[in-house]
Amino acid sequence: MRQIPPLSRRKFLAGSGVALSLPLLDAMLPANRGWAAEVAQPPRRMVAIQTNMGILPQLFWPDGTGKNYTPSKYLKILDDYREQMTVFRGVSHPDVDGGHLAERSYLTAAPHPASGSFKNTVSCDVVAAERLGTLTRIPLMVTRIGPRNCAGSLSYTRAGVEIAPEQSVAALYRKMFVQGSSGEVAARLNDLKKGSSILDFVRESATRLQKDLGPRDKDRLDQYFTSVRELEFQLHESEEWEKRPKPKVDVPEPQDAEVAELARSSKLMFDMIRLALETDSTRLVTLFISTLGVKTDIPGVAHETHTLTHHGNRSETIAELQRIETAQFQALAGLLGGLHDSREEGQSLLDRTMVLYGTCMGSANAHSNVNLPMLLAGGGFQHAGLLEFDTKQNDPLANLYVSMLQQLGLEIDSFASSTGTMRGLN
Amino acid sequence: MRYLSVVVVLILPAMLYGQRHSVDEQAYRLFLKNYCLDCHGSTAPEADLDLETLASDFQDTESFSLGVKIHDRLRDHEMPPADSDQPSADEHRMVLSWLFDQLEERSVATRTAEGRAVLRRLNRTEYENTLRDLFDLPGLSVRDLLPEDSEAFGFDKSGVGLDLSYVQLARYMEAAEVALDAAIAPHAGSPAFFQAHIPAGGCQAFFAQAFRGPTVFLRDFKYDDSLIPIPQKMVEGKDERARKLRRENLKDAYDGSIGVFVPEGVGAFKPRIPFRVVYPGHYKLRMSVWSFIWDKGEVKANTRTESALLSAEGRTLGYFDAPSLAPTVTEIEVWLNPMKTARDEILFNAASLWPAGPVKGNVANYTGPGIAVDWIEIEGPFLNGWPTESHRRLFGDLPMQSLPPMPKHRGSKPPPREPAGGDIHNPKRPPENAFVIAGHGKPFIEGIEQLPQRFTYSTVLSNEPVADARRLLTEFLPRVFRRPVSEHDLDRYVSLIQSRLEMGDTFEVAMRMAFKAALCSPEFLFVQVSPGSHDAYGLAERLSYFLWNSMPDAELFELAREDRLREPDVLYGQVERMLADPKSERFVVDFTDQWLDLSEIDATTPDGKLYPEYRVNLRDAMRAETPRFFRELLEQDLPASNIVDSDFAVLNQRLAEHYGVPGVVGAEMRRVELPDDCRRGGFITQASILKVTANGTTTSPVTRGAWVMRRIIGRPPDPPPSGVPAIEPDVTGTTTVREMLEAHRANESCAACHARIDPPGFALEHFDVIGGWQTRYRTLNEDGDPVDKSDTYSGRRVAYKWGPPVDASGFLPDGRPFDNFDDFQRLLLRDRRAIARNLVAQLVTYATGAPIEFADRAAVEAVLDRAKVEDADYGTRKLLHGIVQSPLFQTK
Repeated sequence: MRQIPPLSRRKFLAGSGVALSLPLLDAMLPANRGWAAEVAQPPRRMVAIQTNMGILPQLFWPDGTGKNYTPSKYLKILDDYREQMTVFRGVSHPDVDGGHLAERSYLTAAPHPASGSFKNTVSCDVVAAERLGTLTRIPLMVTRIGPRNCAGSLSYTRAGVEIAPEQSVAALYRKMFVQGSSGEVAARLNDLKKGSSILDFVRESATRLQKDLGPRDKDRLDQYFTSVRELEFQLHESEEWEKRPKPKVDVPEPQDAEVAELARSSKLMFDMIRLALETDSTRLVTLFISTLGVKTDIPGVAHETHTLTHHGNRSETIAELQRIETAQFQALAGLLGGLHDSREEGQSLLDRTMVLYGTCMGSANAHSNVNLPMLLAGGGFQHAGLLEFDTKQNDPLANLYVSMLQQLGLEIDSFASSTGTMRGLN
Repeated sequence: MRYLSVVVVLILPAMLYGQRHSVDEQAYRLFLKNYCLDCHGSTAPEADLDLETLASDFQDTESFSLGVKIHDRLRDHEMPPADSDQPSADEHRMVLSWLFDQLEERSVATRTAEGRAVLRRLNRTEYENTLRDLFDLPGLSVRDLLPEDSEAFGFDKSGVGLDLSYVQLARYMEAAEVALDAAIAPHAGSPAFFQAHIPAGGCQAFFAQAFRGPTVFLRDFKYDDSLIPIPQKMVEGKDERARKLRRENLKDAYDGSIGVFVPEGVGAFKPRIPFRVVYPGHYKLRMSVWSFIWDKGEVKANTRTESALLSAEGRTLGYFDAPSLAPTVTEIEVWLNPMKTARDEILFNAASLWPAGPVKGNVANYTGPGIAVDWIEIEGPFLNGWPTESHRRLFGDLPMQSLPPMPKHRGSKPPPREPAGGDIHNPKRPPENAFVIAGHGKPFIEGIEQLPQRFTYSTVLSNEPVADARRLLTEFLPRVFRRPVSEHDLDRYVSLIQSRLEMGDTFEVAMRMAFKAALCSPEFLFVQVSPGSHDAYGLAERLSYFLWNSMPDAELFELAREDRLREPDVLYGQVERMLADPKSERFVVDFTDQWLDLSEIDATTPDGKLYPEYRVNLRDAMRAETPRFFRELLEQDLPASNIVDSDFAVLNQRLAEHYGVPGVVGAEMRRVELPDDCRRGGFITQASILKVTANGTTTSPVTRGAWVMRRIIGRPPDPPPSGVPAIEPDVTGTTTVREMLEAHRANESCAACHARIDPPGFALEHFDVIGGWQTRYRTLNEDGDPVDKSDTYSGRRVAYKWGPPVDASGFLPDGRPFDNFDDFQRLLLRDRRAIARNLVAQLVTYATGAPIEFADRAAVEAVLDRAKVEDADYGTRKLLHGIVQSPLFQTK
């Protein structure tokens, strides 16, 4: 594969003009424009993954402590990378309950997702994208594996609105690597311009609607204004990127897998994520793996996944579930291996990429949301093996997110329910 | 003045505030000290409720909702608990009335300032329905293009949950394109009308499987051995004679009947009807089917009526009754979308048959039921003129003109449009209409020879573009915005078009841009209401999004224009008219889906070994029953207590079998009076609801109990306190969930809530995870008792065994005991007003997007009083009318 030389930031900014500020609203303030100097060198990247049906805890937690742990069945699959990996035991999001619904709060830590008036908050990847987004063609790659026509991504805007995920690897490939003909580019630019003028037009409509509104209603209409502004920014940015040649890769456009082909679709998506990082098409990726309602084609699995997680401790049901989760860990090992083998400026890509993997339920059988099986690989940390905290009084998972955001070069010291950085991870 | 004093209190520093205690508030504090603080004091408060530091002004949202909770617990004498000191009647009354005044004042103040509801956008169901009605495109599908909406207060109808992001806005822009593509006619000539008659043999899967066992050739109610003798083994593809027969069938399809022994999906059996729709629209489907018992080569009478299913895009089109030995033609009218590949074609499913049959080819020795298919007919599309109504609503009667041939790729100038249902780059494929897959020999279609081999795309022509634009938009914009449009707004749209025309766009392209802008504008996307009473247009809008889940129609619009809609009689008449309109089915389905969580019916798939009888025909019947039941309550104005118990159910044959109700034949859902000894009746005994309240493998009294509290009784339980471990379901041991719960409830802090949550769940334990009646739990454990074949639905051997017996007894929180579900129903029915009150609360929340707040309680009681009928019960339709007439509905 041909490596694309890193995009010169200076050149890029010169070419795109001042209008290219930060994406995603709140950060679009002139005061924040000094960001360029703060961005970490060498480039740091993050891939945050959640599989949403829990992970069998008895097959995940290793024995022993620290670096000398004896790998569990699942960790054995990842054992090649244990030096670049930390497993966390005794972490969770405080006040994030509600069984399955906790999946929405995975990267946001917003409390009580099951309550009637739940309002999500910004996810840590979006916070990172505010800083790093303009550096790449895709500011933040929000992806998903699972049943079609269902909602669910890990990424939420400042207003707590879910960012719709891309589920098709083929679409991602085309977006990143397929250069349109000059005619197509021109047509697309024309489309974008038209889009911008429609936005101009409707903004004026909203302004006229705005008078006579009370503060709560103004808030809602403000979301409209914000959306228009953000979309304009996105369109403008797309215009700029549309004019730049796309990186070339010698991998053909992949075909999307069927929903039931969990192992294959995981591999396809992981490959696409690796390609995206290798070509610096994005530095931030979230992946939501939903197996709700999916009967996988993994050999030896006869039932739908969610039903299996209500295993009631029946050994044959657990065995089926284990086959699914094993396939998922094998796919993860494939991603870590691929990143490990890929070099950038003489360094392994894994060392520059944090890969977060975990789930929202400590036990799916009991729908509990504490003691989450979580691990972090790569990213240039001094990894600690097994980090153990109190399993009765968990440490906030958001502390890990603070550590990760700092590693990305963001000067922040808190996020959501954090109380500091992750203890024991440097 | 009261309101002012609230503001004053708000801005005073806390230390000053201490001196402003009124006499009543001191009484309240004293009351707390005497009766509450022992448990709910600052040190280790029970249930995390610390009344000692809770501000008694109930100013912020959190303390306000705690205040309401305290008020309600006191009012219902749930607190202080029976075993502790009780206040005197006077103390109780005085503190309660003080609390009431405080809370009422606060609640009214908020409402006066901003209204009950928050400004909201359309949700994606409303958005799709609105576009469907705006363009008269009933099959338009744009919902799935939009991100999923979040719920607030149990429904996707509140501004609190309906956020808007740039992603959403980008998808609106896409969806507008899709809708406009579908709405604008692609060419001037009308598509031809197709009539296809397809003999069963024309379906290749039917024909080919007759050599392997799953199907047989039938003629005159006998096996037809003119092709092959009754197979005794698989006739392989290698068999020269079979291959020859199949080749011949491709040219000239077998014209007898085909008997089918297995449902779709068994083996690789996917019988698809060889008919491909190219032009979307209404189509009529007719199919002739009957059933039989195959007894080792003999065709005999069946003991029951079977039913077959046709589906497309994974969507059920309809069920077709197959009575014994009586060919029966059923016609359905459905919307069909374009089918691009064989996978999109209509799928046949012998849905009522058991998924086992002579699949190994030994038909000669097989005995079992089968469904015979004679033929299938399809005709359509049924169009409402040409160009379509949707086109006329955008472009009136402006003429169309042929376009020059399209370039292979898009150039710098965009093409005028991507038409629906055809491939612009491949004009050889007839984008007209529908066609039958080639290769069935005889054309089954009348007039296939006259089909145009090619046709030309066209565009709308205008000689006076600006004047035409103004004329068309004058019609279009008020419908999109659901209210009159000012000259100024109209001018803005016209000048947008003008500027595009000057840039060289064709008329149609320029108009499209204006249409798209309108469909992405806030006037279209937001339901526009301002605080206070609705204006007439606002009322029309609220009414139509309530009862039709969509925009107002011409009549509502006209009444709003005349400002007559707010007259009570007119309003009453409109509600009656709207409920009679088929569009009200959207309300019935959407409301019951959300209120009763029916949309989650497929969230779990019951274990196939434990519940083999849960198949698509049962699932579809379960799914259909609940909205049909609610419709019956509305149509007949039946008492709200039917929610808990009724003497009828809405059943078809399969569901009646499931419930053990005899004498119901056929797939059609209909009202059935229940026998006296039947344990069914009311929403909570419906299989759909028993299914959504279980997880597919086991029932949980906690889940079901909490569901009944939340959805039926209207008293949602508090969330579990943090740090309490959940019960880990374990079906391997001999411990039942009940035993585990007993242990859980031994913990006092758990017991208080579970005493309220669990009883309804215990009472429902006799219903299994698919809503069947159980006296013993099904189990896959070795130590279970064997199940006799005759006790199973299929009459075949099953993998499950009988586990422990079910105990459905329990106690209500006030100590009244019940032995089983019947008892429990009777206890619930003692408070019919509470059941009706909850229904009103659910309907009001759905209709207005705001929950019942403290200040709304009086209005709810007024609705209840108006709907009261003689026997102290509440007519469902009366309640609905009462809601619409009440200020809850008519103000923001």
